[in-house]
Amino acid sequence: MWAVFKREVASFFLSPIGYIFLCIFVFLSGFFFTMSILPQSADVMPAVNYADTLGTMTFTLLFVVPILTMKLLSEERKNGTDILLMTSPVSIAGIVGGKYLAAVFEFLVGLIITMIYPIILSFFTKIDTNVILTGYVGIFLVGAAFIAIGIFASSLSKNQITSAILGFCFLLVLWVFEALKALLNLSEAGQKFLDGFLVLKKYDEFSAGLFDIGAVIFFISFIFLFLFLTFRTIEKRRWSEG
Amino acid sequence: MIQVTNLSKKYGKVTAVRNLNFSVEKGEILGFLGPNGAGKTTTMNIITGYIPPSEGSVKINGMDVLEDSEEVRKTIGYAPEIPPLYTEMTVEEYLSFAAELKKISKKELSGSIEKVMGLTKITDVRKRLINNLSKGYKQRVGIAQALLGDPEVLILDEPTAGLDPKQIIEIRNLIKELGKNHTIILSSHILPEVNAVCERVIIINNGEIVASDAPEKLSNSLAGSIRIEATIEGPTDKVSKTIEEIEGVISVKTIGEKERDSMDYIIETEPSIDIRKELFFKMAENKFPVLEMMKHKLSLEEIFLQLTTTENEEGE
Repeated sequence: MWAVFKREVASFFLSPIGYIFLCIFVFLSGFFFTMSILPQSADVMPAVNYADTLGTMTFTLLFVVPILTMKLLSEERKNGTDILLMTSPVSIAGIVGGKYLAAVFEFLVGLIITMIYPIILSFFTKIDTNVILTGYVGIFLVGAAFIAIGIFASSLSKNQITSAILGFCFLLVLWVFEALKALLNLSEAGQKFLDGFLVLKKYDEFSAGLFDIGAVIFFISFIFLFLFLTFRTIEKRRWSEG
Repeated sequence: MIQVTNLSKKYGKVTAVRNLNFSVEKGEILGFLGPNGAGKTTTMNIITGYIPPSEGSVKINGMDVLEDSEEVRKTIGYAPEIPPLYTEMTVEEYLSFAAELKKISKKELSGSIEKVMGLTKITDVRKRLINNLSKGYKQRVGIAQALLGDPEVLILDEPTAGLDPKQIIEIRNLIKELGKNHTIILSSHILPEVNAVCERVIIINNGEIVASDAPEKLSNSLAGSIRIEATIEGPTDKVSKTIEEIEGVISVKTIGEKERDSMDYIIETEPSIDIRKELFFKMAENKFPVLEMMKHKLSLEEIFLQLTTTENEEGE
């Protein structure tokens, strides 16, 4: 698994896609930071505001996560390199896990760059470190959950563009879930079921400075669900297509 | 060593491989011969555990490729037809990644990489990006990857595709060399190659085995008849008649006069009987000197065509 992880990270930073991802991510988050912080005066608790900025930044994830994840599995299949992985003494779970962690690591690099914003902020005003830290934990978990969806999308197609679009669509559906829930006249059980997919709602607690262990467990189960689906997709294809 | 039992693979309604049965002994080099689309690659993909079979099983050293898949994979080196290369890596980086995948320990890693680069003669391109290598070099990097960790079993899918004649000879020699202490399955649609390298050949067509034997035995047993070409001096009708009397002769044809007073004959005989001695003595008895005599063996190429074309016709 670590061999896969290392190769993936190395190839990310050797290929333009890595820099495109970081570029877009840093640009968009910088844009939201500037837009949300600058018009404020110093006395309206910028710390809370920054957590809100992070909340807005989850929106950028909608666009950048598919860029990050589209090639993970699609590229291997297209180039026929999956044959090397699958005939090596490495399990499919190890391959999926290694690739997933590599993408999470790359996302983390982007996220660490954005930490420069609260540092800038701290020069001008008092910041609430707690809120910012939980906010970062929150956005990290949201990103990690999105990446799990992205890698699943990547397992569905040989074509990177298709994978990216699929990933984007899945995330978009997740994004409009709340509105969707209101639209569909569902029973209580149905509502509860849909609540399970309200990834973004779970973020709110983190942005309020709360560290909710239940939410963490929610994210972890969400991630495992999609990694499992990815694993099953690969397994199933071996049996049906080869 | 390798035991393939009742192996079938279906893709939806299409059957790629049908009921294959064969085994490969330790240290044997088995050639897998067949036209494109015959099921060679599918079979190899199943043996290496890349895809599971629809029916049947593959056992390596008594271990099932599906059940003990991780253990089995440690004993196999696979060089697929299209080498699975990461083109953004250098040769050395790639091999070191492959070695890590194969769980080669850190200590043996660099030694192992040096060794396979030496064997496949790619040491001089070790620092180059795979993307910039020629097809022949890429092919050899693919083979080098399969050799990492010195696996007992090597599966090589068209290992000489895309190589120039000199490289082909080098790779063939390498395969022969490796065959001394490895079990090798090699696929090809190039017949002289299989003939030159393999101890045993399996001819596969439309997903089925149509023949399996040593290359030279194949030409004997599979030919419907043996043809003997002979140049014999003497009156044509009498000579013909004398030949026809020999047991096992099916037909005698004259094909023309090459030298004065002698005639060229084509004698078709049953494959089980060798008439050459008998022919010689009979002719000597009658004072018809035999000037030339040649047993005409069907080449692997002819057998191959014969087997695969009749199969095709039956299939339609």
